[in-house]
Parts: sequence; structure tokens; C-alpha cells
Amino acid sequence: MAEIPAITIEKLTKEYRLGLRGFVVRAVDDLSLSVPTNSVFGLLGPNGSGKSTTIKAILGLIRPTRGSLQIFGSSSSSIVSRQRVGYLPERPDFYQFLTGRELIHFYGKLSGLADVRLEERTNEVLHQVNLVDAADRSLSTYSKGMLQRIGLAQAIVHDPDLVILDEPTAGVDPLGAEAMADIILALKAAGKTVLLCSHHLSQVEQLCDSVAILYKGRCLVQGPLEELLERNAAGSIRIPHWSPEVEQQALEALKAAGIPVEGVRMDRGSLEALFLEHARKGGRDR
Amino acid sequence: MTPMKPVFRFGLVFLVLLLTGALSRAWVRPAWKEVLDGQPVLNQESLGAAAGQGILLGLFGGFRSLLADMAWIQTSYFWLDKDWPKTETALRATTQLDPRPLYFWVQGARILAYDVSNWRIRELETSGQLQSEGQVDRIRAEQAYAGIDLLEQAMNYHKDNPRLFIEIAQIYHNILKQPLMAADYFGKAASSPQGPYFAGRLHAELLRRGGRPDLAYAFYTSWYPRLDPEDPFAMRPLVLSRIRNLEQELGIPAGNRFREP
Amino acid sequence: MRVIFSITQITFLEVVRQRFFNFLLLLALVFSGSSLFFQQFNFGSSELKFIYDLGSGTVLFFGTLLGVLLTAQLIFTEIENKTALTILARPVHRLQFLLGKFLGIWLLMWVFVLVVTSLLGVILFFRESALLHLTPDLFPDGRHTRYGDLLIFGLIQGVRLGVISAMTLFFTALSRSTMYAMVISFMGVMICQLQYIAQEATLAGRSWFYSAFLQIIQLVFPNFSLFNTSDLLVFPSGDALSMTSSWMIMGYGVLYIGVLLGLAAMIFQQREV
Repeated sequence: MAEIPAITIEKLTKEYRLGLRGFVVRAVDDLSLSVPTNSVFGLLGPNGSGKSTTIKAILGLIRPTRGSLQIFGSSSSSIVSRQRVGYLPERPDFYQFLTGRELIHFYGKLSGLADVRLEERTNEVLHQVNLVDAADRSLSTYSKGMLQRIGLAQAIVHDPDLVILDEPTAGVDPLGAEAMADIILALKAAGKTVLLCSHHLSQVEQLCDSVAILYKGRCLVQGPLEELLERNAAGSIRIPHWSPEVEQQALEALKAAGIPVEGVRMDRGSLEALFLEHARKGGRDR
Repeated sequence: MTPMKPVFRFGLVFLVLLLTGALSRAWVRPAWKEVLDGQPVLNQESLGAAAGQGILLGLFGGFRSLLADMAWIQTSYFWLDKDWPKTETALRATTQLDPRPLYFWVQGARILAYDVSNWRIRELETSGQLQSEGQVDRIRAEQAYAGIDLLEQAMNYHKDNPRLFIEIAQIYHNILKQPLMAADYFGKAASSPQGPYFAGRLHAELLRRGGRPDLAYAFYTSWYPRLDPEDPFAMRPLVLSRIRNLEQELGIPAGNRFREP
Repeated sequence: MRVIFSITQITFLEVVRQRFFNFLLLLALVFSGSSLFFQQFNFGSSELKFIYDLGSGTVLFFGTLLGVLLTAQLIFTEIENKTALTILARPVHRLQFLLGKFLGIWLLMWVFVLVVTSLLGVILFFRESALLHLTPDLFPDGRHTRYGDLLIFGLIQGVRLGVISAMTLFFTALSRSTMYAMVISFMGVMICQLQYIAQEATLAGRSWFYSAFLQIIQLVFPNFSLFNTSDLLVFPSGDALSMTSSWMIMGYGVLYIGVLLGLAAMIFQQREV
């Protein structure tokens, strides 16, 4: 029997009526997609493409104009479907007067965790997001990265099967983003499904099994990431110790073999790689 | 759940509130009557210039007493300045804002009858316009009747309150020098519920001084049996001695004299 | 229940930290305490009524401000900060969310009423003791102040503030901005307070349309004039408010709290967050 997808969206359309004349804005237009279980699914698109609207519709926070949404086979509008879902919105502003531990406790209670289990899970997720040392400090003392991590902790405290993350690395430095990526991979390894919404494309490429690209409410392309990238794949040959003479020789050889060459590019390495190399080194040396 | 159209939603809200209001109104009627009885009708016309929008809203916002208190503070400030036109306006506004406290009426009447007449007379003296005793008497009479008028208005809200009768009686006695009118009001005070004993004695005494010892005797002899012998404030022995004095004054034969019950 | 209690707890902790609440509470206490200023006017025993009038007016005025402003601001802050999203994305009914928010705010209202009424009681007690000593002839029957009535006054005002908060919650569920919610709520409170005029005007016997309109206003909006019991308590000029009526008034308030919360939940259920 085929496994029920974590999320099933069929022909989702969401319209908003604005102003007195009822001017219609279509935030999502006839979107259909399926998120398989135990995978990381990337929902991509420029600002205003309908990503957040889609997420809110999945969570039952807004009502679709047309179409249906299901979470593990249950209608997304039912309260029951949310038992298995954890959610981290974009740039949330949690209750600053609470400590990290208190925040997790609060959300754990809302998810129905009993006291003993709640205590266990709180300690587990604090370890998981690496905030044990800061757990008893108020959130007002947390950095952006720590706030995102505590946000993730509240999303997973009740051990949901589906975790929805909307821009989890927004405003976070590359080290923090890397830490977040590790947690996401750990969730996948634990059998969870993650729906990731991010502008951080290199990270999406690193983490996601499948993606859907939205634009002005419509899905332009969706599918397994590897397949999608292979369609545009172009091979590259890395030549160490580059010089203009070596480049000339390589081009002549490829031309002689009848292989077309689109262009030649110097690969200087990425700033991100440089940053991570030095930041990690700095962390080891301290 | 299919979302309700806004018009149906509005209709349902309206209906539920209407029903709640209709059902609860009947149920809470006794309590509302009690609250309403404790709120005298506001005479908006007599508030005059004092009643701006803010005051009206404040009144019905439940701040009636507080506003009246503030108006009384204002009255006190004008009183300290001896500004009699403003004092009079402010104290009339006070009693109209909240006619329930007897204090405002009694103090207000005293201000009008005693203080304002002194200020007006002093004003005329200072400005050199005071030319005769007649002017003084006229001013005192005007203010005395102003005080009495205020106290009579108070009776609309404090029916048969002996304090009001006593205040009027004192004005007739102290300022207007009309002992028989004063006696009349002391008599009303004595015969009202909770009327003090001294009012009865003053009633009789003023009748005597006003040239009507016969009426004083008639009052005392009908009143004496009703005095509580256990109550020291009733002063039965004093009343009895006054009966005896009046019998001598009136020359009543021994056989017709008052016999103690 | 655990969910509602958790939300109540968080809401209470959040509002009690609001500078606005602390400022208004301080202002209310200062205002009530300033009643001692009346000593200079030598009002005799009536000074006690003045103190009480100022204290009760403080509870009415500042309590109304708090009820409307805090309630409207709190809900929109939750939506703007996205904490509402994180709560409603869980298996939490919208009614549970609203109830938890309301109970947190109402608890704060009770704290406010308790603090100000207690201060009022203390001031009255000490001032009356001083006056008893200075002018005993003005107190032939002993103390004038009915201290037990302060408790009834506090209870009735606590319920009234609950109705105000519930009404604000209802308007907030309909509104798209904090300012709009506040303005509409204040207007609603004023209409409820002016029921007295509506009743008088209906009796004045104008056109049937006008009378019908006023009748509908009287039925749709709760009658806040019913809660104006401060003059019938502590220093009543006539008979004091009976216990039966006090319970009736509180029951009336609780009924409207339930109805308004239910309507707010119905509207909020359909609202997109």
C-alpha cells in the first residue's frame, strides 16, 4: 500500500478581496503538490509568490477559496491534523519575558504533553538545538540565531511527524545557518518530514530532496531536486594550477573531440566557504 | 465548515444580542429599579451653562457623585475668594448635578443666607454705595429668601427631612426676625419622622415669644405625653416646668391645669 | 482546560509587565490617594463620601481604559508577533485561545480592582478614625462607612470590567487594526453607559420609528448604568443596594461575558490569521 503523503495539496486557490470594490488578488492559483513522508521538501519562490499563504492554508490558519489540503490524509482544517505538525513562522517574536525552557514548556502544554513527558522532551530538544546552557536565560538576552533555534525547539517539542519551517535561517549568520541545517538533517534521519521555505538557495540545494518553485501564486516546476537540476546540468572540469596556456590547450583538446564549450570560468572558491573555514578554525582555537 | 456570509454573521450576532437583552431585561428588572430609584432625575435645564458635553457624559458614565464633589470643591474656592456670583452658580450646579447629599443643600443655603449677604453688604460699603440701613435689611432679606428657596427645592429630594425644616426655621429666626414663621418650621421639624426633641421645644418657645403663648401651651400639653420618659434628650422635666410657667402666664385656673398622665 | 490555563497564565504575565498597565495603576493609586487633599476643606463627615467618590470614580475610569486598551492591543500584538500563529498551528481551538486571552486580562482587572479598592478602604478607615477622634459629635452612631459594601462594589466593578474586556474582544475579532478596535470599543462602552438616556427618551414618546430604534439599542447593548451602584453602597443616601440585586447585577454581567465571548469566538473562527 502506497504511503500517505505528509502533505497533499489539490488545486489550491486562494483569493483575497480588497477594498470596497472587491478587487480580487489571487495569492495562490490552482496549486497542486505532494510532499512525501521522511523527506525534506523545499518551497521556493520570490517574495509574494504565495509560499506563506500556502503554508498558512496547510496549517488551517486561512481558508482556501478552492481546493483541498490534507496532512497525513486528514483535512488540514481539522484540529486533529495539527497534532502531528510543528511550525516555525518567519521571524517570530516570542514572549521575551520567558526563559527558553519556559517557552518550550508553554508550547509543550499546548500540544498536550503530560508533565513528565514534557520535562523529558524539553531537555531533549534543548540538547538537539544546542541551547542547554542558555535554557534558563530570558529570551530577551538571546541572539537572532538562538531565537531561531528556540523557535525550532518549540516546533519539535511534541515530536511531530511533519515540521514546517518558514525561513528558518532568515537573519542568521552562516554558522547559525549551518547549525540549523544539521538539525534539519537530523530530523530527516529520525524519520520526520520537513517542509522548508527559504531564500537561502545553497542551503535548500544542500538539504532538500524535492522542491517546488512558485511564482505569482502558480507552481512553475516541482519534483525531485536531482532530476530538476540534471535537466539544466552542465558538466564542469576542474583544472588545478590554471594558467592562460593551460586553458588554451584544454579548449583546443575539447574542440578537437567535438565537445561544445559554453564558457570558461575561474573558480575562486565561495565567500561562504572562506567564512566557515575561518569561523570553525576560530572556534577551535578559543 | 463553510464560512458564513458576512450578512448572515451580522444577522446572527444581532439576533443573539437582541435575545440576550430581551431575556435578561425581564430577569434583572428588580435590580434595575433599585438602581434607578437611587438616581434622582437630572434637571438638565437648571444645569444651565455648567452642563457641557463632558459633564453629561461623565454623569452617565457613572461619575455623577464625583462631578458633584468637584463642583463643590470649586464652590469652596469661589467661597474663599468671596466671589458671590460664581459661588452661587457653582453651588446651584452642585445640587443639580447630585441632589442626594443633604450636605450640599444645607451648606449651600447657609452660604447664600449668611455669607453672601455679608459679602454684598461689604462690597457696597467698600464702594461707598451703602447709604441706609434699609439697603442692608433688603440685602439680608433677599439672601435669606434665596437660602430658604434652595432649602425648599431640597425637599423635592429629601421629603420631610427635619434638618431642612430646622435650617429654614433658623433663617427666619436669625435673619428675618420672624419668630412665628420660625416656630412654624420648628414645629414641622418636630413632627417629622426622626424629628429632634429640641425642635419641639424651640417651636413652643418661639410661639410664646411671638405673642402666642396659648398655642405654645396647647402644643406642650399635647406633646408631653408622647415624650419618652427614658430618653434624657426628651427633657420631660424641662417641658413640664415650661407648661407650669405658661399656665401662670396665661392665668389658667388650678382646676384646668395640665395633669401628668 | 490545561490549554486554556496555560494561555491565561502567559497572558497575565504578559499584561502585568506592560508599562501602560503599571502607569495606569500608579495613576489610579495616586488619584485615590489625593483624596486626602480634601482634609483642607473641613467637610466634616462628608469628607469620607468625597474620598469614596474619588476612589470609586478612579476604578470606573481607569478600569475602563485598561479593559479596552489592553484587550485590543494584546490580540493584535499576538497576531503581529506571530505568536498567535504558533499557538493556533497547534491542536488549539480558537475558542480556547480567546478564552485563555480573556481570562488572563480579566484576572488582571481583578488585581487592579483589588489594589485600588483596598487602598480606598485603608484611606477611609484611617481618615474616619481621625475624624471620630477630632469631631466625635458628628458620629453619634459610630462609624458611617459600610466597609463590607466595598467588597460588593469591588465585585460588581470586576464583573463590569469583564464585560468591557469581552466586548472589546468581540470588536477586536471584527477589526483589522488596534486603533479601529479601540475606537469602536470605546464607542460601544459609551452607548452601553448611555442606556439611561435611551430609556428616558423612549418614555418621552416621540415618533414610533425613533422609539423603536431606541428600544433596539436598549436590547442589543448591555446596560452599563446597571453597574453604577457606587452611590448605593458604602455611603448610601437612602437604602443600600440589596444583596439580591447585587447578585442579579453580577449574574447579568457574567451572562453578557459568556454571550460576547461566544460571539467573538464565532467571528474569530472564521477570521484568517
